Amino acid sequence: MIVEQRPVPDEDAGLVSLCKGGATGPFETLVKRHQKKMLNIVYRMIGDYEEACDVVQEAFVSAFKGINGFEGKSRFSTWLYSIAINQARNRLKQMKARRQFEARSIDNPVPGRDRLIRLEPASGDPPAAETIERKEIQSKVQECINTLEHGYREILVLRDMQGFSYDEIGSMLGLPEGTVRSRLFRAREAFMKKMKSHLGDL
Amino acid sequence: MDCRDIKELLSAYLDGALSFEEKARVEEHLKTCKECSSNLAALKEAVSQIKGLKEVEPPPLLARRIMKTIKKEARYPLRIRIPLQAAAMIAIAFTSIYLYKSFQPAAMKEAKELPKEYAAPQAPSQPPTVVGKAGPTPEKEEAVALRNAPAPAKQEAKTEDKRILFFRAAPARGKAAAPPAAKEERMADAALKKEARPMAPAQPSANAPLIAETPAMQAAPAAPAQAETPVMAAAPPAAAPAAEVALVEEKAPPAKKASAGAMRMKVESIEKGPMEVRLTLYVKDIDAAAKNVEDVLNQAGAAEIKTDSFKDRKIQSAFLSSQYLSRVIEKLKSIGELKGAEAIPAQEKPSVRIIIGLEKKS
Repeated sequence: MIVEQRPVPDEDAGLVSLCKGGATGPFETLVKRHQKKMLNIVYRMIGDYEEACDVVQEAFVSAFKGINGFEGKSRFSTWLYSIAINQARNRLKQMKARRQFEARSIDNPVPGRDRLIRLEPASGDPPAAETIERKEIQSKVQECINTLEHGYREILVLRDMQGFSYDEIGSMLGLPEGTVRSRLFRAREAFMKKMKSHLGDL
Repeated sequence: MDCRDIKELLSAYLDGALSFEEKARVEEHLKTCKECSSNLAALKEAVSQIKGLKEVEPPPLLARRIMKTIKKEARYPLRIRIPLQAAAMIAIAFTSIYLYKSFQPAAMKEAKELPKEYAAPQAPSQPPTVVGKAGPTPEKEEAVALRNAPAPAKQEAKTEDKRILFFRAAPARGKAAAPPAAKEERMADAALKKEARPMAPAQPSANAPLIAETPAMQAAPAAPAQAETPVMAAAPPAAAPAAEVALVEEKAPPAKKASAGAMRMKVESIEKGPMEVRLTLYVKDIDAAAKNVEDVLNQAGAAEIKTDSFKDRKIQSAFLSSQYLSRVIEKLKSIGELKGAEAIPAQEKPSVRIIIGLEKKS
């Protein structure tokens, strides 16, 4: 597998400079262009579709507010996604706190409820060719990712799902490239281990 | 190089992220090591499994929702919106306090209750003390009212002291100009026509006395009610409006429990002010009589003699030493037919305010 080489010039640069004057029109284009990728990163990170939509909205709003602080050292998308990742991390902490609170609630016990395991709530009708087995594997994969620690989860989502380069991941997460490489290695190891215990024969 | 080192590199090798030398080493090792090759295969599989996770679609309205929030933010950023809202809250709070203080609750309450009271058919309960002959017929009283009182405000006075009625008609402190006075009279005529019908009167007059009666309203320059009544606009700029009102209240039936607080206030204010004596003088020549009256007042050492001219009537007022009051009255009787002098109470205070209305003898 070869790292895709993205074109170095930032396709968003023109729109971004328009937005710096406070224009909302060009920003709408940016929202439409990036919302899907952002949603997918956030959703795979926190595992809850509704929460992920919320986080994406928050991230866009704070990106708009802070767009004048974007200096263009990285691509705009990298900057944008790093905001979303930060927001998602915060949301994960909140959700964890909420879950603990809910678990202790006597009035409203929801046995076995784990938001992190809820899968694919937004996927519409599955393709006809998709077998039940494949679906099962997908849900196992998501489960395994969800049980990984946050750092591993993030990097797997960014690299293996979204295909960002080590360099991009480094600037999104604020890590040197060497750390990205070693963390990715450990994350994949951990993931394989989980899959093995889940599926038995991997 | 052993398999553990290679294993660490496999992940990056898969991504093509190794340096040229590292890559060569890994490839060299893989040729001979079956375990590492299978490790690489497992790694590839795992990565493809993750990659195989389906992408989710954003909800169709997400972008619109986001833009709505952003447009709000763009128009009024939070750092402006919050101070603005805070400032608005403070402004509202201060305005409320100000309004509450200017329209005192007692006055407001009274304002609501008065019309009802005047609407009640308690009509000719008290005979007029100053103008009245014994037992005047309603028509007669009406006629007197017409002459004396150009303002709609007078209507309520029917149930009260005639003196008040007179006084109310007279902008005694003299700043009212003639044109507004004429206007007053037109108003009065209109009001009287309505009044002529037996029971109807209550309603048209209901508002006017209410306004005239409420000192707080008069005092508050912003009170919207004032603008509704030209009478008020023409009235002398509240030199001592409370005193005027006080007399009305004093004579009013004790039914006004609700406005007890306001009443107390007014009674106090009259105690402070001088006693007032109101007289009506019927003469043939008003202008000549006015001069005579002025001479009389001057001779008696009266102060602040003022004369207000109206269409067919003059009103003169002055401050007079109480001891000269009876002598002045005697002299006035020689000028014309004097009314209102019959029931002048004993003068307790050193000075008295005398108000003389000059009317054409009919």
